[in-house]
Amino acid sequence: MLFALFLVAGLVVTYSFFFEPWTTFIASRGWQKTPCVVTVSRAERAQGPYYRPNVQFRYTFAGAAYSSARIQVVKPSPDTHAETKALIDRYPEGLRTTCWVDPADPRIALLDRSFQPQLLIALFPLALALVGLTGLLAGLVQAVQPTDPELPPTPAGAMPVPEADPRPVRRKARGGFRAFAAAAIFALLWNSPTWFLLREVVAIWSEGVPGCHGWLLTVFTLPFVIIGLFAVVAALYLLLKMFSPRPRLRLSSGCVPAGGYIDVTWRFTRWIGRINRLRVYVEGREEATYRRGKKLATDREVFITIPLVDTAKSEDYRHGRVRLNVPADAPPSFQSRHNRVAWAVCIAGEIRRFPDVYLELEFIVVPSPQPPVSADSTAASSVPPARPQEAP
Amino acid sequence: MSDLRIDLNDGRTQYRPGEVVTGVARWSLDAPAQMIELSVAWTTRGKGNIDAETVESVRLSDPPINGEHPFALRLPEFPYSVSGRLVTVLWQLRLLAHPGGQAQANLTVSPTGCELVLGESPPSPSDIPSAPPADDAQTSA
Repeated sequence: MLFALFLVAGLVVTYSFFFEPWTTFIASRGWQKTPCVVTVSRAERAQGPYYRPNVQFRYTFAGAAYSSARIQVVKPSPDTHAETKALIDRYPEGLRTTCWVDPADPRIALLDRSFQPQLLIALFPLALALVGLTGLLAGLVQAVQPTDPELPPTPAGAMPVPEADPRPVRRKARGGFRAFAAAAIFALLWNSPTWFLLREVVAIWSEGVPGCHGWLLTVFTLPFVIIGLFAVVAALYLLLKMFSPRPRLRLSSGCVPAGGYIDVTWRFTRWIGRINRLRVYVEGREEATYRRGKKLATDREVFITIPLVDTAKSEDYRHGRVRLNVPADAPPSFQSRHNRVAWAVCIAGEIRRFPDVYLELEFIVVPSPQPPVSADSTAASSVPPARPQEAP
Repeated sequence: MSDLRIDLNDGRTQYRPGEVVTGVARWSLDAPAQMIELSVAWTTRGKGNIDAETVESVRLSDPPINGEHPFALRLPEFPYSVSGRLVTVLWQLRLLAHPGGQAQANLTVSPTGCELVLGESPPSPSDIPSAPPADDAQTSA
């Protein structure tokens, strides 16, 4: 549905605003150069502080006299007085110059048939239409040949427990530059063409309540402006996050039996003074992956939170160590293709009016060693032969 | 109509990991079956897609129409029977006749013999230790 909307909106806007300028631009490559005289050249007042150029010229083609008021491929929109004046100064009244005449219809002529950058704005709705078309075609292909987004299968006979490694594990928070750079580049790429669209909308509205095309362009532009604003806010947020304190976590072992101990060490590298509250805790959580439509989604539910440290004393922030005693009845880590029971040490620093700090490090809880089962139940899985039962 | 039944010794359904499940599989079939299979397996239930694994099985080819078969199947050390809001792990003994019918018996496998319920015993707030000194102090949670 969304892709269909993209396709229709993209095509409508492309056709309404760019089809005629582009076809004129392409056709004008074959038009004939003809002498002409500028008869009118003045800046006319549009709505508000804007002006519109009025340039008319006369020419003779195949023995007949014609007049035209079209300067360029893209019709000029209301602009500032300086910009309008710059255009009419190029074509003062009485100027003898050349124009380009359509031999098939000599009533149509241009003073300037050169390429205008505004024509590139058409790429934006075209790209939107292309996204819509691609999405629709992909949906069509999926409907014909449904793809299976299943996770890779678990090797046959594998135990449903993550690989346990008793060596120490550590993790540090990333700087976040890549995320910021990606968000900033996206915001820039998104907002550059959006700016041209917005400028057109502002110009249209500056002349008063617009007609059908103006409303269409406004409605079309609004979602792009909103997304562009979100992109800017996201980039700013990620920029601020780059200057947040960066925690490091270290666990004395990557796996621990239920009832066992594990040392948790944390360290902040910089700007710890900004933290108002620091919490270190352990989370046990369930994760279920299921099919939602044609994709897989994963839900998480925390079933236990074990607080280790909760402090507002800034002298405790920089680094510290705490010993975690995993509860004896803690359910061991479990991992199959779509279901998971996982454990993680989390460190969270709250910062006022700034992005918070968060880092987690998973570890494996293995079953605690069990006493051997009684002798009478240790017999191998010997299977005596089946014996017929007497018919009742 | 075929009748298949799993009788566990003493009706016991709770086991510790590594224990051997013993009992007798009994069947009375309408028509001869090509094979009867007895297996012990875990399977997941809950919001996620179902995962399952057969850990041990016994196959009987060309079984009699009426018969019984004592069995002793060892349980692995893991996973335990677990019940959560999103993830549940169940253990089952399955008796399957090809073609024919099937029967199953649910088992509970854990060190205590009881199903582990996720989130059943959260720690009390008094478990929160005081903040440790910034250096090498250790506390227990």
